[in-house]
Amino acid sequence: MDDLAAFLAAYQTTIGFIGLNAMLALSVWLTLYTGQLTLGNAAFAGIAAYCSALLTMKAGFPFPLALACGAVLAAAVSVPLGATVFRLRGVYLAIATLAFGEIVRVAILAIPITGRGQGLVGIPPKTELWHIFVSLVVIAVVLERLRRSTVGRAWAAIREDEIAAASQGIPVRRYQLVAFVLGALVAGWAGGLAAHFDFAIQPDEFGFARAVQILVFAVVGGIPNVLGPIAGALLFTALPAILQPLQEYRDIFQGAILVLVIVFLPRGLATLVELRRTARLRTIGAEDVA
Amino acid sequence: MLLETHGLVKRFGGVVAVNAVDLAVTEGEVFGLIGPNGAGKTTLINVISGQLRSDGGTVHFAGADVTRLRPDQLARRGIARTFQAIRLFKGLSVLENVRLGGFVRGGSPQGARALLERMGLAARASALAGELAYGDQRRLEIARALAAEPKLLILDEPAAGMNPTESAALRVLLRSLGAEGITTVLIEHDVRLVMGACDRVAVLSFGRKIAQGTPAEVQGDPAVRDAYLGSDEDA
Repeated sequence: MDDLAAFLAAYQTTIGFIGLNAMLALSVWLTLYTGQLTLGNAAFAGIAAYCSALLTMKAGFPFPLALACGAVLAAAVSVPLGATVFRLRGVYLAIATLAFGEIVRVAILAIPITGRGQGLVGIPPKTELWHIFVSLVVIAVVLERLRRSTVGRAWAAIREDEIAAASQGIPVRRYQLVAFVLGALVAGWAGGLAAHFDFAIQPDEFGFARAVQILVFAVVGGIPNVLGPIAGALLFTALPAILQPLQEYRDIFQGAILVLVIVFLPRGLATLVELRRTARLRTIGAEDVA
Repeated sequence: MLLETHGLVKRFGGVVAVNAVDLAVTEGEVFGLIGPNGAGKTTLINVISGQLRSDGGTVHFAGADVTRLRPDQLARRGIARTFQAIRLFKGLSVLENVRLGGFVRGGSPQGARALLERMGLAARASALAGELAYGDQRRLEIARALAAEPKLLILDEPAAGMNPTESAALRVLLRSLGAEGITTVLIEHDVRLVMGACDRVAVLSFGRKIAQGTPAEVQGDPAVRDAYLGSDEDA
């Protein structure tokens, strides 16, 4: 028991970020599962991080309420954005959501109350590890149940063939928008927790590099179910700590692991448990994330 | 009339793919739509089922103007269809495909299994749709469409890729659908299937309807023969 306590104390930051990253990976999983590639989730996390941090710091909001406000704001912003950009497909959709992320970053730099380039410092460190992991479990269970429900089956149909899905009576745009807005809500919740975990936030933490990193967690982890993104976030958040002894060669090893997973498990770590199904899917040339 | 089109037009650039077509399909009948390649048959049903926007004219279904509705709204009103180039959810199981076909009805697994039984696909229920043989994929697409319990079933070349036994079974199925109150619009090149299954047939050529009647009447129509073989003047 003492060992566990010592371990938690030594690696508290890394463990916390595993949970936070897992939530962000799940947020982008939602849109990937419907067959859409979006890169706006770092920005949603950023919006919620700044919103909730400002509410606790300057307005004296209670922590849970500030978290909820941040997440709801991120989701509210995602509605008009999603309604506009879901006319686009594939890489064009990815670029449009990326542009949105840049707008958010530049807006944060321009608004004085955010502390601009210096970021916000002195955020009350209210996030405990158990907040992060209870949130993660709740989100993962809800999303997996949703995946197995009628809604999740409609998402899978849309991913497989949008035209055929519409012909079965599935309102495609609406279902895609629901996935996108839920993703923003989850990213926003994670962003608020991150802001109060780290004690300071900066605009660059929610920029392009972060958006791509979140995508890597989800894609390397795998899309078939919610365990994939969690596994991806765990691997890539823990690796820098595990590879610490390699020092300056650390990034090379991390890159090599990424390449190996993509080459040998193109459908992600989660497909390790269903290799035969993966082979069958490949034979018939089904969608990569099925 | 279950389905009526008036002066329906669809243009692609300068090409008029569907040119002022009037159709009237009666409840419970099997209505054939035939014509040479490129006559506009598939375009016509893509407009009717909402995949394409019409450039003129109207579509009425079950008494309501449905000209501007989206495919999912039309599906909800009772129009189900199959596609000439098969569009199954090929990475999902056979059973899951049929359940999704029943999306607007709640998609119970029991109903889906019964349909698979009827279409002779029960043994493949857990296979991936993309793993099925071509003829089986065609039958699965029909099963998926029937799972919606549609008022109108539109089949775009369902017998393409089927062997004679399978296409004979399809003919029996089509005849039985009418008795169940399902109206069918059938695009098909297999003459025996059209003659054996359809109550009435319309013939399209270069986007226009050039003939309509019972299969026997249409077969004897000189305009139809010209459309398929070219008229004497062209020769």
